[in-house]
Amino acid sequence: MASLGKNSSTGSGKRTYRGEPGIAMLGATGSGKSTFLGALQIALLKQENEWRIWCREPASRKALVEMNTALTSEGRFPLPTTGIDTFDWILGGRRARTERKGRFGSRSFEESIELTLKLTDPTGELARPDQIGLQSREELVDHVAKSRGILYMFDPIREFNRGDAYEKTYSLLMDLVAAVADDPGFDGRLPHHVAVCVTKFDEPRVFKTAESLRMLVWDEHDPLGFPRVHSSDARDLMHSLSKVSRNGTGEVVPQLLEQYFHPDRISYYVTSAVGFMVSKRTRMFDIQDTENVYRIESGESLVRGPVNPINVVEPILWLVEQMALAG
Amino acid sequence: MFGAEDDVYVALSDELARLNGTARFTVVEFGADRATIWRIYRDENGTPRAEQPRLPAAVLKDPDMFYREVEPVFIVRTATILPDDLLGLLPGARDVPVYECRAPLEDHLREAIRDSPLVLGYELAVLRQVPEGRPEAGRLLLTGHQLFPPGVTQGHRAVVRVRCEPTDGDGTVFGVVTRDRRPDVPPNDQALRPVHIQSAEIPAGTYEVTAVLARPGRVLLQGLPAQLSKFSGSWDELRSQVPGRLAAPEPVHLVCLVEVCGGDDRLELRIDRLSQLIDEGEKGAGRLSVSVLAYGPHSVAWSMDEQPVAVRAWAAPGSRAEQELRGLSGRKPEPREYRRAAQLECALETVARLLSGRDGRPVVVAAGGRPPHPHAMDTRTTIIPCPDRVNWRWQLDRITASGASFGALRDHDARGDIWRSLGRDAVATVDDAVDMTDFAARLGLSEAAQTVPFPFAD
Repeated sequence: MASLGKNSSTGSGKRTYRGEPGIAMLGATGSGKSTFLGALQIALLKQENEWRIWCREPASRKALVEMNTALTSEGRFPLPTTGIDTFDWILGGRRARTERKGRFGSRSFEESIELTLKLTDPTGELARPDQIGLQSREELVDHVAKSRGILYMFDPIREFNRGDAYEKTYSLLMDLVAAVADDPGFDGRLPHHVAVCVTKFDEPRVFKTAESLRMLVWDEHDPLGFPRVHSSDARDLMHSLSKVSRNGTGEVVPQLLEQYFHPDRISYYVTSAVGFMVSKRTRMFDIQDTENVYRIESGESLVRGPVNPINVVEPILWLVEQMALAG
Repeated sequence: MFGAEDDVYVALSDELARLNGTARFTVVEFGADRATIWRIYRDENGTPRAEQPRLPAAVLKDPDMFYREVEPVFIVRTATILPDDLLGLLPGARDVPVYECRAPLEDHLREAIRDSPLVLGYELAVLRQVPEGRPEAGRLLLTGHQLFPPGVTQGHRAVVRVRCEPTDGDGTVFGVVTRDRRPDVPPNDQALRPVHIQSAEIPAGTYEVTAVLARPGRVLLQGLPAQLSKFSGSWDELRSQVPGRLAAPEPVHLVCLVEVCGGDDRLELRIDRLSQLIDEGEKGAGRLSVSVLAYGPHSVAWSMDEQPVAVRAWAAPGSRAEQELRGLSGRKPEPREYRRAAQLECALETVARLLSGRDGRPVVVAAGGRPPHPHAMDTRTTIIPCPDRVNWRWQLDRITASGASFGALRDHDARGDIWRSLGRDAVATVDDAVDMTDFAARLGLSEAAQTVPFPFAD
C-alpha cells in the first residue's frame, strides 16, 4: 500500500492517501495565492475531472465557499486574509495507476487520493526575513518542512515593482534546510517537489514577453482560443521576466530553487487564476486585450469577465502524481 | 509796480483769452540772476503752448533792443535784488506792467493754460457705417463724436457710448481730435487733427466712456476694461488702417468634450469653465455654434453595460449648449467603473465623423483629465484598450486636417501626449482661476480677421 502521508487507509482495489504532509503554498503578498485557491474549484469544474476540493474544518470551509463565490459570482478577488491564519483544505480525487505484477504482468487499478492543501501564510508576510524566529514563522517553516509538495507562486509584476522574491525565498529556504537537516536521508537538498507558478499570465507585460519570446502555443480545440506557454518554456519565461526585477536579484530565483531542491523535482507553470479576458462581443480571446482584471476608483481590483483559470489544476495534479510516484 | 500773485494769473488768463490764430505774446521773468523769456502761442488744435525762444545775448544788454525784439506784454519780478543788467532792463517810462511775486512765472503759466477754455471743440475719433439705403451703405467712415464744445474748461465731463470690434492690430485707439471746420468742406471730409492719442487692447464689447478734460490738450477716458497708454504711432498710418468695410464675421463651431468621471465637484468645475468659454465665444467676432459631447469610461467588465459617448448638442446655439452642459451635473458614478482612462478616443472619433465645414471653423476644447483608452494592448501604461480599437492620434489628425484649433481645460494631474496635443493652442487647469478671455482669444474665438483701429460710436 502506497502512502502519501503518515496516515493512510485502503479499500479493495482503491487506495486513499490522507495525511498532514500535503501541499504547502508559498508566495509573497499579492502573488495570487488566495486567488489561486479561490479559482481552484472553478478550474476543477471546467476540466471535468473527478477531483474535488472540500474541508472538514468549519472556518476553512467557510473561507473556501466565500473565496470561490467572490471570484466567480461577484468578480471580486479573495482577500489575502479572511479572518483565519490557515486554510486547511482537502483535495480528493482518483488516479489511474498501473502496478507491475510478477515478472511480465501488470495490474491497473484506480486509487483514491486525498491530500491536504494548506496555506499557512495567506498574507505572505511570514516569508519576510524580519519574521525569522517568530512563532508564527516557525509554524510556517514546520508546516512546509513536513509537506511533500510546494506550490511556489512567483509574481513577475510584483518582482518588477518590488523585487523581493529572492530575499524572501532565500530566508525561507535557509529556515527549511535547518528544519530538515537532521532528518534521515537528508542529502543537502530539500526533498520536496516544487511546482513553480509564474502568475498573472493575462497581464499585458507578462503576455507580451511570452509572445515576444515566441512561447505562445495555441490549441485549436480550445473553445475560447486561449494560448498557453508550455511547461518546458515556463522556466525560461520566468527567467526573462525576472531580468527586469526591481533590484536585479529576481533573475537568480530559479537557480536558488534548483540549488536547494532537486532540480528534477521542480516543474514550472505559467498560470493565471482568472484566465484571459474573453471579449463580451465575440466571446473569444482577444490578443489585444488579455488582462482579465481591472482596478476601480476605490483601488479594489475586480475580475472583468468570466473566470477561466489557466494552469491552476495542472501544477497540483503534477505534485500529486510526483508524490504518488515517490510513494 | 503791481504786487499780487493772482494778478499774474489774471493777466496771463486775459492774454490767453485774446490769443487766437497764429498770434503770440511774450512774458518775461526777472529773477535773482537772469531773465527768463516765455513765448506763448496756440497750436493747430488751439492748445496754448509756451516756449523759451533763443535770443542773441545782445538783446539783454540793450533796453531798446530788448523791448523792440522781445515785446513783453508784462514782466514778472521774482527777486527783490536784481543784477545790474536786469535793473537796466526794467521798463521805466515804457508802458509795460511789472508784477512782483514769489512764484516762478512758469508755475503761473501752467496754471493759466490748464484753466484756459478750449477754443476748438474736442471730439473722439470714431468709426461710423454708412446707413442702409444710402450710397455706399456699410462703408466705414472715420469721423468725430463730440466730447467738449469750445469754451469749456478743465474738469468738464462728457459721456460717450462706444462699441469696440475685435481687431487683430495693436488694440483699439482712442483719439481725441479737433476738426478743421472749413465751411467749404462737407463735415465727413473735414480733416481730424489728433490732440491726445491713447490705445489699449480692449475686449470686443460696448462701453460707456466718461471723458474728463484734464487741461487743454489732455483728456482722461474712464470706464474701459484696460488701462490706456500713450500711442506713439503715426496718425496718418492709423487712418490708413481703417478698412473699407467690416469683414463678414467668421462662423466658429465650438466643440466641447466633457469628461463626466471623477465626482460631481470636478464635473461642475468642467461645466463652469466650458460655460464661461461659450459666453466668451458669444462675445466674439463670428457666428458661434456649439456642440457638447459627454464621455465617461468604457465598460471594461461584463457586469457593466457600455455607456457610449453622448452627443448632447451638435452645432446648436450657445444657450442650448449651456443648458445641455448643465444637465450633465449630478451624475452618480458607478462604483465598479474603470478609473484609469476614459472614452476620449471615441469622443474624438465622433467629432471627426460629425464635423462639417458648413458649421464654421472648428474649435475643439476638451475638459477632463483621464487619458484615452489605447487602440491596442499597451504594455507601458497597461491601460485596457478601446473595445472599438479607436486610435486617438488618427482621430486627432482627422480633426486637425479640418483646420481645427484645440484647447484643453484639464485636471491638474492630466498628463501625456493626448493632453499636450489637445492643449496645443490653449491650455488651462480647471482647478485654477482661468483667464477665459485670454483662453478664448488663443483659440480665435474672440479674434477678428481684420484691423479695426477705432471704436464705433453707438
